[in-house]
Amino acid sequence: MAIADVKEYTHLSEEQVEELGRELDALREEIEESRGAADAAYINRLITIQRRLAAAGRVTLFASRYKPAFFAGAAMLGIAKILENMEIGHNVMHGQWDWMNDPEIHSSNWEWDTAQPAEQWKHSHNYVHHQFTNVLGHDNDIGYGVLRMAREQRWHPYYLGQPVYNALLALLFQWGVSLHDLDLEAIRKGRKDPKEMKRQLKQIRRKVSRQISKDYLVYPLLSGPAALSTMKANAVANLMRNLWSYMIIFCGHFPDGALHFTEEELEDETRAEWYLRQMLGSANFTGGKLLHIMSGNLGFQIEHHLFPDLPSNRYAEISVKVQDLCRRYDIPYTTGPLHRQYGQVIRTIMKLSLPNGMTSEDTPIEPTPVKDRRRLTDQERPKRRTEMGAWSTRRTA
Amino acid sequence: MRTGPTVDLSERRHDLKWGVPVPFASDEHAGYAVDHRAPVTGPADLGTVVKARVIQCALSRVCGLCGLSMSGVTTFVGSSDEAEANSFGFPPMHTACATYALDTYPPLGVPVLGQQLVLHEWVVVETGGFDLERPQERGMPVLFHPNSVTSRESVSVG
Repeated sequence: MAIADVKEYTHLSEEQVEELGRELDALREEIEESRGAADAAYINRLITIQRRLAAAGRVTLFASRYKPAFFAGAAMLGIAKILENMEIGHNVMHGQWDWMNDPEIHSSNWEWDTAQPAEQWKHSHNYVHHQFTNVLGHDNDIGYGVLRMAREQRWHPYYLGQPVYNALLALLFQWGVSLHDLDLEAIRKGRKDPKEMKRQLKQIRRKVSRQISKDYLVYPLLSGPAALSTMKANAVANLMRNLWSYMIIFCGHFPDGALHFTEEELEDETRAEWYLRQMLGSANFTGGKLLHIMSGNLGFQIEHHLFPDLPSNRYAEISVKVQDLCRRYDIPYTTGPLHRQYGQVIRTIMKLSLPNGMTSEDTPIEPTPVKDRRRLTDQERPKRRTEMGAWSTRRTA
Repeated sequence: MRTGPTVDLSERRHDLKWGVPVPFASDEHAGYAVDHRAPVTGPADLGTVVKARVIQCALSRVCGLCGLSMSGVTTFVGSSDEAEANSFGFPPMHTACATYALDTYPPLGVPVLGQQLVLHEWVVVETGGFDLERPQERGMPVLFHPNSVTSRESVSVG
């Protein structure tokens, strides 16, 4: 199935697709030209709030032997971690705030409060996931190498345990993500460069040690007699962040309506078609301003995928215009309340734990042949040789 | 010229004809910064950029020369036309890598660093960030637009 065959926009002529692309280009330009002091004030204010919340949580936990302090401290720390990971770290590492020229709030320098090293996140997420969004065999975020999230993925009895794997992934999300860029499947099949693997493992070991020392050694010891309860509260805060970030991330691409693609379309994609793939492969959720901030503005997943390096605080206004475009061009704009979107994700996980023949599709689409897919390495992803003016089929690595 | 930390390109594939490291953005064998499986088969086209690697540099924030994570100042090098248009075809580099690149490649006397012509005048632009422009049509280049320029300097080479 090529992107041009996706029935959701086959009603559009080539000219209309290009016109849609131009409208999105203009929208991007409008935001680029208008970003400025108010946006900078937003991210600076948010970082201040996050740091005060984290500090208040840590201080409160000095009294964590008392239950109210335990719960208040854990809650404040958990919220601070969520803000740091979702609205600050994730978006800073996309380069959304690089234009401010602040060496601290910069994609090159930010190291976030989670186990995965920033450098590996910028490869597995910024490049692999954002470039190959929802393309089976390319986008390693489809089920994180653990879950079967598309009917096109071949079923195996292993997937019967999918509901359990899903629960474990949610609970241990930061640890699962920390191994994401290693590409365990490539390692298992001997396709991973050993030297690169060693380099990545060293980075992970260093980051994991830092995270464990901070939350389970240094701060508990600073709490003196409350060390054990502080350690427990820190675990609760990390658990809060794990569950929340897992849910938000899974709601971005797996609710009904978010399409999967196959690799053929990558070889022949214009910018306008790339925009379309991002729009059709992503799903939003609705909610108030606080919910959007707590979710890193990923409730505007469609807008985030269209413009991953524009400031997240502008996604709400961009979304009004994107919805208008979708109406005018008759393109689906997948959205709904968070509980409904997550409910659909859970239903998909349950259904796809079984073979296709035992379940029905929730969004009828043209049947796609089942293929035995595996994750591709960077060397196997398509490369364009510009001097040839076409895609090369030569495989060299 | 600027100075900066030492550039370590020992892990990069070397071009057989010129004996110079192949820039990450020009190396179609490169996937990760370190790739020992890539065969050294002959001279690379040092003027070409590989679209997949350029996009990877832009999204993963890695240097177009050494392929390692960007840190500190983001530096672009290109022609005066590119600087005038604020539109560069070669990905950003570490400042030290940019210095090394201008010391190493232009003296070869062939088109290098994403250029189609041999340049004797280069422009070095330092910026906090950039905006990425994906190719509008097939065959068009990926472009970078520095969005918070802190310095701009012309450099004569050769």
